[in-house]
Amino acid sequence: MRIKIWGCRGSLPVAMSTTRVRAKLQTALKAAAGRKFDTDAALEKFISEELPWAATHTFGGNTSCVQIDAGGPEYIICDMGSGLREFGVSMMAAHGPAKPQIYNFFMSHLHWDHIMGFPFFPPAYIPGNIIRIHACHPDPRAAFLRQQSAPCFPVHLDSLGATIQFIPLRPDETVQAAGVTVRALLQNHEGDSYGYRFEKGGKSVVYTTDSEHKPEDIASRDRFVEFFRNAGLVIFDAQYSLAEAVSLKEDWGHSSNIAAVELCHQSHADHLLLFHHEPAFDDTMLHRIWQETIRYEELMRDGGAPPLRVSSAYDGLELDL
Amino acid sequence: MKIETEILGAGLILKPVGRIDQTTAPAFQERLLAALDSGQDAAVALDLSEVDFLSSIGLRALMIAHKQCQTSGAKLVLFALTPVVREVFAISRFDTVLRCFEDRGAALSSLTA
Repeated sequence: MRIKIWGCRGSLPVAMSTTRVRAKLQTALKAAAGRKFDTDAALEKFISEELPWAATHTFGGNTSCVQIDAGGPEYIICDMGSGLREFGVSMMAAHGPAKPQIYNFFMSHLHWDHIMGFPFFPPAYIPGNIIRIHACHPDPRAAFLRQQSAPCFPVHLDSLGATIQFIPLRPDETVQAAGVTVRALLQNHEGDSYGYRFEKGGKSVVYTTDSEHKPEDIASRDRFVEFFRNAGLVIFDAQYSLAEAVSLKEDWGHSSNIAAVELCHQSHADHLLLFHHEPAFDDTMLHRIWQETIRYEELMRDGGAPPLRVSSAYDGLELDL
Repeated sequence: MKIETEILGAGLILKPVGRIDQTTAPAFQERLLAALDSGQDAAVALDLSEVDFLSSIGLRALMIAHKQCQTSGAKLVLFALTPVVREVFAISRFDTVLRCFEDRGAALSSLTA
């Protein structure tokens, strides 16, 4: 099972500013001062091994969109944030207009940052493609129609070339879809959101974003621990610090890296992927949060327990389970 | 969990001992809020020198106490954080919200300032 992140940013797409590009350049040029690189390989080695991560990478700015490649012929994608555009472009490059494909979307919820990529998804315009939108919310089509009708967008939803199907799901029910076993779980978010657990061939991944975890809600904690149980990967909304999540931003519907580690430890998950990053944070801050989360995992781990691997999502990241 | 208490003029020094986790946090929160509930002159200095573990629900208890102080005018300070708890405060950003001091003297001075 391979996971690819097409969009990892929360709430709103962002782009890197010139100021931040120049800051990365300054870091790299200062580190390279006085050095001589005889070959491209030597330069690449320097970049990979000696420069800070935040100087050579960017987390990217697209909103939520995650591909789950379980090896079957149909595509599986969680959410349609702005990252969906790049996924769609890659599909056009791979298949062109003449080879119809089946795309299965699993929607956490219908807030704008999770559907905004759909009008820019080229395969939706190609007759022959089949787009199945799996959702637990009642009448998800209404959200897509509102987004893709006047005055919001010039191309009406009903004029798209692909066949678009809305597949209702119910939380806590296990279903077979696109060659995988899927179960949804209700989450705490304004208007409700749903997490999904995908399983195939002994591998499992949980996609859980836009989900607030309140430390005092023991019943909710137990439901999520069961949902995450022994997962190979948990993709987790860690937009806020815990201090924000229990004070200023309480009931805003998001969670923290602290809650992520606690739940993953309790459920014996293998790998935590921090996701739905705060749009106000730059690469340096997001990298700091990632490293702090690794440290927090070390501090909180029970003696003898295997370590929980902690990663942080960035646009373009691929992980194999 | 054991919470040692020392009377301090109009306020208290509270010294919890052990872990503040899912099991112990409710009692800790109740004791802390009660100590802060004696009006705008209430003052609590929380000695964390014997706390070796603090989970999210323990941190939430501290945030609730902090919010109560903002409403009532009571004062809450913390001191003698163990290295692990200090790191947890930094990672969770609680160090940007709560008033933390190195030692008892500095904490008590801040309450009388």
